[in-house]
Amino acid sequence: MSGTDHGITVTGVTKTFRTWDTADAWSIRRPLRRRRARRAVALADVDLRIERGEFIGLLGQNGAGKSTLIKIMTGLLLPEEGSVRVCGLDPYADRERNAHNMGVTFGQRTQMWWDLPARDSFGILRDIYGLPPTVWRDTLTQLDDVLALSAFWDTPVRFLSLGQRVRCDLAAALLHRPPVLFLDEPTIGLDVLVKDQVRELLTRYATTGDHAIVLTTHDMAEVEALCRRIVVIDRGRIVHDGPREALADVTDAEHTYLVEFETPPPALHLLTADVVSGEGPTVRVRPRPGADRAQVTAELLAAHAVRSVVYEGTRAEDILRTLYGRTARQSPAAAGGGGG
Amino acid sequence: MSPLARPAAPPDRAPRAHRLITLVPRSEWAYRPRIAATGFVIVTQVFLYVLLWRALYRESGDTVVGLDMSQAITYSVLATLMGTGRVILEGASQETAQSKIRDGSVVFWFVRPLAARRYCAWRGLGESLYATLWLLGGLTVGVLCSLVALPPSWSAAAVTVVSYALGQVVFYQISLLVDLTSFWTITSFGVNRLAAFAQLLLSGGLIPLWLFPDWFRSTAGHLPFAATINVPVSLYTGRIPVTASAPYLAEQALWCVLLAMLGRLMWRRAARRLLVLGG
Ligand SMILES: Nc1ncnc2c1ncn2[C@@H]1O[C@H](COP(=O)(O)OP(=O)(O)OP(=O)(O)O)[C@@H](O)[C@H]1O
Ligand SMILES: [Mg+2]
Repeated sequence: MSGTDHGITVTGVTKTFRTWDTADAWSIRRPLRRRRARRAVALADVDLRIERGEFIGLLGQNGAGKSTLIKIMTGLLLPEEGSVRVCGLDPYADRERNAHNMGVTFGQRTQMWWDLPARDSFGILRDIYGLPPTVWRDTLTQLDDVLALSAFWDTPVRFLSLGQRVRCDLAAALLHRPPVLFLDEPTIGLDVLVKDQVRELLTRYATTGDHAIVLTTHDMAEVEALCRRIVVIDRGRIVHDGPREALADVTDAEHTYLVEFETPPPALHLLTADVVSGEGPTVRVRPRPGADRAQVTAELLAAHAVRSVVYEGTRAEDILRTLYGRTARQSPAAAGGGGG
Repeated sequence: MSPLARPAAPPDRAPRAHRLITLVPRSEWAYRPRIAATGFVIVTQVFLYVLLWRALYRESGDTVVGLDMSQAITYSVLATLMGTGRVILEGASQETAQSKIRDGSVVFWFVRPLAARRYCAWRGLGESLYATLWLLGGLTVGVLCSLVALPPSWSAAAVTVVSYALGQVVFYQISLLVDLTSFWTITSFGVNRLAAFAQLLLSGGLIPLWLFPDWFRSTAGHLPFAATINVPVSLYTGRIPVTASAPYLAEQALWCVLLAMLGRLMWRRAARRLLVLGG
């Protein structure tokens, strides 16, 4: 048994990748010259503690280091500095024991066996994980209830559509009922309905309070629907770690409301907000200091025929846009450097 | 609350990894055209060999380099049968380290409670058994059509079985080592090709080794490739008498051990080389 710790602890993890400049790698004049090596910092001094029962959204731009962090937490990579514990085990040194505790998906990569029907792959995983047949069958039935796998699980995996295969992969990761889940872009390429299925499944896992779940995705709606805690990583550093609501505070961005009226309004004068711009029936207003969302909305609705109000700048997506933009301006060229 | 979401305690039973033996036969069965193709290749190859040997012996008399015609045909049929049926490396199944590295799914070999080394070993055992089915089937048909002679004695048959088993291990180790190089080279296509060529030529799978000049034969005879086909088939045909078989078997066993050690080393390094994967 793995003790009582069912969480994930990441302490002071640093990871750099060695890359080579290949642009002038093969020169005719000096064919034997060594290619210039440089080190790119993928993770710098990352600390993270995820308790059992938590569902965190790991966000960041492309190349920010999310997948690298997941690879380190799953024991695929060894950090140069720092340590990782998953359920009390070192995922790199204790790979095989740790594997029982965690379920992993990696975006577009599949762990299914191409030649065999999907259900056979689940059978192979049953054998690899040593699952009792009854438990395996129950789990599969339950996964099938949500993900509707039985419609296609007798088809060889190579003939499945992307969405079908991704669902199979999710099921494959959950089959051994791991308490820790690492989901690296699990909904990549899924249509809306399937995304809903996946979301429902993950919500079920989250509500048990028994799992520690790490999700990376670029789909902000998903993060807002699922994750109560959000960790933002930027060029290898954690720049935000806190509840979803607190994300808005870090940007102190200006929020504006986009109001769409039934008919183009006459000159608009509001007590709670200033008009920023207007075009036809759509007007952008900025709340005055002290006026909250309810007051502005009430005033608008009281006197006008309003079709819709969009609160801009409060969606995770807007906040991240500001956050990414800001960090890009603050610290140019963080990665890189010579040596090696 | 759904029992779905209750995390299970890790099972205390050992994984039933031995069931991975069925992986290759099942994959092949799922693609019966592939089985048909293998059968077709074997039949065609055997047919051509028979034509070739008949023509050759008509020209040059009863024995060629100490081998009579029935021995030569027996040799070629067996060598053909032993050389086919090794399906993983042919790449049709995308089960090679090479194709897994290319699409990145090799990471899943390292997040399971079964070490990748053992996973491949179980799977390889299944592949060997599958190949052996082809051999036994072909042998039966060959003997029934009196194309293939029986081994000279029971003891020769027994020694052949042992030698064949050792040869299969060597076979597996060679293809594994070749495949594992893709952890360093990303595509082991070049290495693959060289190894396939060497295997074909130096194992005696294509042409019996004793038709080559002396220096070539004695060199090739001590390489691991010869352990896969040349030695077991020579024992079967009586080319190597049972009384002289001990050093050959010992050499095969030695190759098993050496290659296994090298394989261990490469696996350990491969696990550390995982960072070749971007994403
Ligand atoms: N094997 C590797 N060799 C060299 N550099 C690498 C390697 N893997 C990742 N990197 C670099 O490390 C950085 C972080 O990559 P990572 O894959 O973790 O990003 P990510 O946050 O997952 O991005 P995305 O949203 O695009 O998936 C990138 O700059 C990437 O170029
Ligand atoms: Mg990624």
